[in-house]
Amino acid sequence: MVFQLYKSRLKCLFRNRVNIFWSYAFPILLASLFYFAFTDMFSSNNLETISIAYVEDVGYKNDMDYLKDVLEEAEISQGLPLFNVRYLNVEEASKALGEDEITAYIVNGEGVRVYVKKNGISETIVKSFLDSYKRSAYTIQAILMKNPDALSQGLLDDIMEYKSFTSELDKGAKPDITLTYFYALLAMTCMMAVNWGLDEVINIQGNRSSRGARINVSPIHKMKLLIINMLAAFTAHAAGICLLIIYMLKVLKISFGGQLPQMVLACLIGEMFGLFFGAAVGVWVNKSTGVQDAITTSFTLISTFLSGMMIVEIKGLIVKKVPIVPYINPVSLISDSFYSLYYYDDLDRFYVNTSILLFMSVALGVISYLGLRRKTYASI
Amino acid sequence: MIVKVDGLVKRYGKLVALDYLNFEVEEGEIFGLLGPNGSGKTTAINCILALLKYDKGSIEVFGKPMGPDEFDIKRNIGLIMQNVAVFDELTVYENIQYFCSLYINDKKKVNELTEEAIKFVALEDYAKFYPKKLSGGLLRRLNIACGVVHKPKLIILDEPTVAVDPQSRNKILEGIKQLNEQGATIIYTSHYMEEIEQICSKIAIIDKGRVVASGTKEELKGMISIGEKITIETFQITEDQIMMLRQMQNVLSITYENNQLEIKSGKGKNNLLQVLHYMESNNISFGKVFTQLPTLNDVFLEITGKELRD
Repeated sequence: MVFQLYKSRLKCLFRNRVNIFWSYAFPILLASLFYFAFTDMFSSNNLETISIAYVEDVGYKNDMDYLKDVLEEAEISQGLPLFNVRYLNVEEASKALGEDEITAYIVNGEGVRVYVKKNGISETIVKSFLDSYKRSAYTIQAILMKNPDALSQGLLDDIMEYKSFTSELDKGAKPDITLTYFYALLAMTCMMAVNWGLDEVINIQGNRSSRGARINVSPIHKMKLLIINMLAAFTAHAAGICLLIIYMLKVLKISFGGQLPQMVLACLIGEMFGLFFGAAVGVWVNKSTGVQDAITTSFTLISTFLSGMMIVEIKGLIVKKVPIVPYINPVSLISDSFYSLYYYDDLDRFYVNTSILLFMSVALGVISYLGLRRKTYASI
Repeated sequence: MIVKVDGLVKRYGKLVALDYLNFEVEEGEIFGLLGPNGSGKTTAINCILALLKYDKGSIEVFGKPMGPDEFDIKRNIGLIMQNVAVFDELTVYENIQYFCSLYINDKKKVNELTEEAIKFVALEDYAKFYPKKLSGGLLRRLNIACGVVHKPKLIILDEPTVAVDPQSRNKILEGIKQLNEQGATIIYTSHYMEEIEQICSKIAIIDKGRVVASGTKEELKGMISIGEKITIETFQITEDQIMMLRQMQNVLSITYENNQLEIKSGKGKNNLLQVLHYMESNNISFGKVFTQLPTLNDVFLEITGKELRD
């Protein structure tokens, strides 16, 4: 009987197109969207050499000026120059700009000025590059005024060298801000189990539907049936999460830095939390199904927002301003578990997060049980 | 005694839904609970099934007090409600199989009973259909199959024919009689008096949460003064002639509307003959004539002063 009921419930869940869309298709769509958006945003491959003109105007002083050299030597990547520099006079440069032969022209006279025709990424790059050059030039000049020998002491080499004041840990994981989005997406998918948990409780409550009434009249113990149904929901939803992970790993080629079993474990605990949270809402919130749905959906969205999926900076802000929130926000706990697996050698932080989540899940399970046992209704 | 309801009181705030309700259902009966909408029929059923808390009274089913955890009692009850209670995601076969699995452990037995139930409601051709593909009548039949698949001893049907076409309604009523013949005790609630009259062996008429009368349909009709209703089509009767008819022996009341003269007579012989004799001797021409025994609506009307459909 138990297996038959479990199998039937699985069929119901897999044939429910709405649930399947939101828990299977929607996360995959969102992952694809993130992937294409971020690939575009962070890829340097789509940067092309920018055509500019360099003009030496009245007042130009050759003394201590390296702009022309810097422009020539700047590279996007090895062997690919950032700028294609043409040397023109002001009239020629202006005409070339007007005819879109160049993106900008730089006039080096009493100061350095840049002329562009419109706003755009290439124009911004030229301007940013010049701002950076001006700052460096000013710094060098200031140092040389105090210490004229600095140049011979390797000032230029020092100033051109990029120094990082943070050191990488030995996990071989490159810091990748986009992973935060994928982690939060996985966590959000786990939390979508709230609607499944809510549905399971509604289905077996006699005051919610005729079907619930019929089930309540049957001799099966309500808790037994709830456990069977929750197991079926857990199975069906876990399959969706596994599918999403496989899609991210195999199709989108996102590197989660190994430790896949722990990652799946965190997902399953997160999903369990979602199911029990939905069940608790179903049992304890004596309002219409619409209100219960609104509560679970809002909870998922707010938790996801606070974990930084919508605005990545929110995560840091919450940690700084309300440090308790990440410890009680299930989406933060799940995504932080992934984060700790990716960035840290030891699993302490991972175990702290998953333990808190597990504890909250069990607590919600007990709360749901207490509300459901021997329940008869004041009105149907 | 299959069901015994004793002094049942159920209040929704200030509204008294059941007001010391009493009735008993014997084994093998088709027991009808008849009453207008809002009279407390469904509330009574929900209390019997331990779905609803009640304020006072007691309910015994199969001789034992009924409660939410009385699984041995529940095992022998089948429920068919007004709303179709099936899963949209499961086929006809799978739905019946699922509800059977709630009662029966043995998979082979479940499959056997499922096949039987499908045959019983004549849904063999639709076994692989999803509920959304079924017409209203077929859906009701599926609903019945899900409620009776485990062969319960007590079947409770709560207004199962609401919004059902006449053909499907007749099939449902025939099916209920068949289940009763196979040994099941039936509790049938409805506000359709014709259905109750057609199938029930014992009837309780409910109004405002109380049983106002109970017995067989003959016993109920015997409780009221009307013995016969005579309807005569006539176009030329005067007020004086109506007054004369009214004064006849055994005539209880007369109404004349839309050329239809309706005479309600008390119990007795020759009611029709004396009326027709008077009309003939007074040269009152008339067309169609027919007589009718009192209905349960007349019983309800006489006891409560209002129509069942009010």
